[in-house]
Amino acid sequence: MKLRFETFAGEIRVNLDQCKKCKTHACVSACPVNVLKLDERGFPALSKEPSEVKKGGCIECLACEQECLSKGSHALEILLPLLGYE
Amino acid sequence: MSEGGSMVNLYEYEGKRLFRANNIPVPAGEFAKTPEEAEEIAKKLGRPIAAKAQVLTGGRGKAGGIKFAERPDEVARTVEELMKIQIKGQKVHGVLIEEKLNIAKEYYAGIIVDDAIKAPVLLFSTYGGMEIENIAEKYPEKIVSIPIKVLEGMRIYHIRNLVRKLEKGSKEMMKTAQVIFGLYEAYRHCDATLMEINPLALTEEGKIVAADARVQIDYSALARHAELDIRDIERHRTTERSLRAWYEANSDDYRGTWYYMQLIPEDVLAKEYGYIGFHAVGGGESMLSMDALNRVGLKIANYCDTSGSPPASKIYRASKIILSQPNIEGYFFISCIASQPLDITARGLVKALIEIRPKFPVLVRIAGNREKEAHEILRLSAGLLRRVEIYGREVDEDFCARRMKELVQEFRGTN
Repeated sequence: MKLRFETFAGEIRVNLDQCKKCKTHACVSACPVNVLKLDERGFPALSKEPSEVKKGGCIECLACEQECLSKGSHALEILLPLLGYE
Repeated sequence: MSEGGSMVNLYEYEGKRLFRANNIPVPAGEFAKTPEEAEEIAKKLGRPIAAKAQVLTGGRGKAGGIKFAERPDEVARTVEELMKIQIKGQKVHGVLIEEKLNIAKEYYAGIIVDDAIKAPVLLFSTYGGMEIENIAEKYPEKIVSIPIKVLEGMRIYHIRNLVRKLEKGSKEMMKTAQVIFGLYEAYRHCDATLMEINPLALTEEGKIVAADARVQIDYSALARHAELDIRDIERHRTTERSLRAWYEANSDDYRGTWYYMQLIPEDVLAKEYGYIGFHAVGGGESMLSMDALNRVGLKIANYCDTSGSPPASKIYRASKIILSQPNIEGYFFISCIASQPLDITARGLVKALIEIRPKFPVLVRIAGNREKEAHEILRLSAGLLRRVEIYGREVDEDFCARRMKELVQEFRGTN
């Protein structure tokens, strides 16, 4: 089970199987623009239309990734491609 | 950066891409790097084609740089031959495959800078297909021109009046004027120093089409034109890393500012030690800090300023480019008392640091808006890293430079 969506300059991928272990839902509370919410099953989900998120709804602050890494279950990664530096 | 003249030449296919974006009709076609690509393009076009060698010099036709093919299966061989030739000592960069035009008449349209009147001049002639100097010599009565008043700009009626002088009552006059107006807009928009359509073709089907494109851009303005998509370091007169960073900074992501310059080329860094990566928030702060580093004898490999509230994703990309320079012995990050939310800045830094995990020392001075949050983010992640020191507004640039020097010396001692 995966949640994937595009941001202005990259992509966010969440491994929801990994989220089962998470008790903090740190990614959701870290998001300053409320792009993420918890769905009825208790998994992170988008609270806005994907097109809106891509257009700049997600401000790419990277907080969700880092909070997931330090307080969550290492389920969320943000891919920001950089040509020549893969 | 000023070596090699003040102009940058565009290949014909780049010029035509620019023309197309400015509503100047060009023949249907695409650029190909290989015979196979060329054949694919010819198949897509499905009609007789012209294969035009792409070089940054004139005299291509006479040197055999333009060939025609009636059928797509002839194209690969034709292009293979074209790729082998040299034109005035230049290797062929690629080939433009485009539909073969049925030309009924050839015109000339161009904008050049006239040093005598210190202004661009728009030229039009009903005798195209040869060099404008030759037209001027042989048929001076067939050339008309008008100086462009840069402050006032040009209107379509200026061009109609100009064209009318030679083509009174011509049915194509209006269309031609419209195309030349597109040329003026392209010239103006991309800071060109020269733009020529020669020939500007009137086809047997009654269309006005730019059969060729000669474009020169002011080198000093090149940095403002990522849309021209000039990707080679030769024409940018820079290094690969600098160019990549510049494209990252100047693509369609306009959030915040990002200035980057590779001061020491990568091949030099690969052979020499003694440089550190430099990253600042604020132009003034970067000047103060570079002076401070210079005073303690530290040399920087690059210049970078990311300010104006860029997103963390942009800080991350800048930071990653700096951190991944070969053989650097330190990473120096410093902010002015910044108004941009520094917790966002810190997030970008942290992502790059965790990914690269540098062995060399890292010094970060962050002061300003949301500095406490920024320090907390950095401290939380610094645990994952070695040799990261974090400072705030209690220290100045000179302190940071001295401390960086100590850290670099310790690092040298252990490596």
